[in-house]
Amino acid sequence: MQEGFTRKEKLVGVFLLVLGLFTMVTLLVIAQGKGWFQPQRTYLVKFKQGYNLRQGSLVEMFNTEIGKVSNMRIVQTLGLPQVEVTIKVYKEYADLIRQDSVAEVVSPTLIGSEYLDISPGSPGYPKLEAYGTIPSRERKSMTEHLAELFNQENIQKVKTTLSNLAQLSEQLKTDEKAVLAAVNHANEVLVSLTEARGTMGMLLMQKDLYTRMLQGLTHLDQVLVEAKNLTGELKPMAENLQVFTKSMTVQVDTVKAILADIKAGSQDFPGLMEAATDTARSSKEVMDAIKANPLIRLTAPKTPQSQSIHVEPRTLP
Amino acid sequence: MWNRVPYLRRWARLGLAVLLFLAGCAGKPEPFAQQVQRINEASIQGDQRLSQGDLKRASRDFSRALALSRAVDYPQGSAQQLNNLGAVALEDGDLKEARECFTQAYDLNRDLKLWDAASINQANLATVAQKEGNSGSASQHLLAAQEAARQSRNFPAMGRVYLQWAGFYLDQGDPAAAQDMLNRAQPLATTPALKGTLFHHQGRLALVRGDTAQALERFTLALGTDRTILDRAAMAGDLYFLGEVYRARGDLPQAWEYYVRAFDVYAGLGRRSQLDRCLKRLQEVNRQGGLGRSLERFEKAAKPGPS
Repeated sequence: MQEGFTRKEKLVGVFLLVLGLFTMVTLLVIAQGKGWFQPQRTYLVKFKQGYNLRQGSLVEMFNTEIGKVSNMRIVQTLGLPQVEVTIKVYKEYADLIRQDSVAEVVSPTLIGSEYLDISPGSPGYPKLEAYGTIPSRERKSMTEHLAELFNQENIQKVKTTLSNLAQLSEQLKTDEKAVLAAVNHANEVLVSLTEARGTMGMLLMQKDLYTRMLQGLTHLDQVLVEAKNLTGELKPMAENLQVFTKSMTVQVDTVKAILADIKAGSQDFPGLMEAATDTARSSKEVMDAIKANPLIRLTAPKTPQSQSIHVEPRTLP
Repeated sequence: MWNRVPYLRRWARLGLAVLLFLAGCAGKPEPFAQQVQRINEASIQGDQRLSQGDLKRASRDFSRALALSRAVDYPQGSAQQLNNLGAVALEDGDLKEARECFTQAYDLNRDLKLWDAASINQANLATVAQKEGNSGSASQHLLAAQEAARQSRNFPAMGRVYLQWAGFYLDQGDPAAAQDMLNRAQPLATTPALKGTLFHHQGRLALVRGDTAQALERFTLALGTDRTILDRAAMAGDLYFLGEVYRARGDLPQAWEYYVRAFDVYAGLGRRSQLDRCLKRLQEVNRQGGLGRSLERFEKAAKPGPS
């Protein structure tokens, strides 16, 4: 008896095969765009800590991406725990990494995440072999920066300043006698004034002056009464001003609340931007790879070529 | 019994071959080609914006394409973008800037021996001279454009120059010379744009000679051809002249309809001087024919904006 596939079975088989082929092709195209087939070389870098590096963080040289962080783990080196960062560098750039290259973690100014910056090696040094350890430079912490600030030289400067201040104080003590003599002289002048001696003393001790001062004060009282009346008129205005001030305070509180919301939102903004940038970059890579595929290129509509514009107006009479 | 193994093996081999072919051929385009592609995209975008009357954005796109061309040492692209920036300046009425751009573009194209593009630059310089009212200079530039087109050995380029000569002679009031140029251009007008221009100038010639039936047929053909490539400025010109034909025939309601259509297309393009011409014709037709139509909409649209 003849056995074999039925027509339906054959169709299902062909369909599954085509589906499988399509999946494989898509995967290949995406892989091409992502650079999975690009030959890479592995290196190791060791730091005292991870500095927020992650798997997938960029490895850069001259601000240009040359690879990615593939793995991070904590290892014991000579009894000290260290973070061992495994990086994969595109083979075309591997020749630039030599024994005097130095790896350093760099933080972005505002947007983005930490990345590993590798300085190019000098031509005189031998190339670093695969799985070799690139010398690293630790990123300085705040305490280290402070330690630099309070170094020996600065302390010496402070000491010199304090010594100058002490000298100045000594000099003031020497001049104390001259100051006392001046005070005594001022005392004598005051005694002469109270005894109505001299022009100033007579002027000060004459009763006419007090009479005139009393008259002046009476006049001042009248002025003050008038001022009080005026103040009474200003009172309603001041009340309005209070209401206005209260309203302003409410508005200011609202603005403060809005600003607080914006501030809270802005903390998420760098993260969002980073995610958006990553997504856009990945999409572009995939699209470029898809466009480069001859099968897609042949079937996609052809992009028109730009041309020099000929301006010949249809002149109106 | 039907053996399944060879059947499956054959399909598997075929699939593998397809996969290997795709994987082997897939690859990223060259970086220079990518940059040229970007320049091309920016230029096409600028061209579209220019055709929509958005001069500011068109200028920005062409300037970006020019900067990219210069940055990657692509003189052909630089020449093209300079020419296109000249076209924007010409539309904007800045004739001095337009002449400068076209001249720079021509110098580059001449050095690169790109005679087709050089011919376009000279033809554009002729248009600038025509707008300045300097017909002597315009004919000199047209002669230079003709010479460049001859060196390019490109038939459509030659056709383009002959058609511009025909337009020039029609503007100068010399129908015999225009007829001669149109006869030369006819076999060379192979692209839709050139065909549209040919029909348009043939219509103008017929109108000058008083043959309104022939003019009507030619302008209708020109409008149909210009519509296929969506050359809106050319379409507006065709519609305006259809209005002229009906006006010459005394069919003023029909003339009104075509002037209105021309007005609306020019309004979309933001061409103020042409809007004024259309408005003037609408006022004349409305008055002569006693049509009693409202001109408020047109007067409002033709009025210069606050900007």
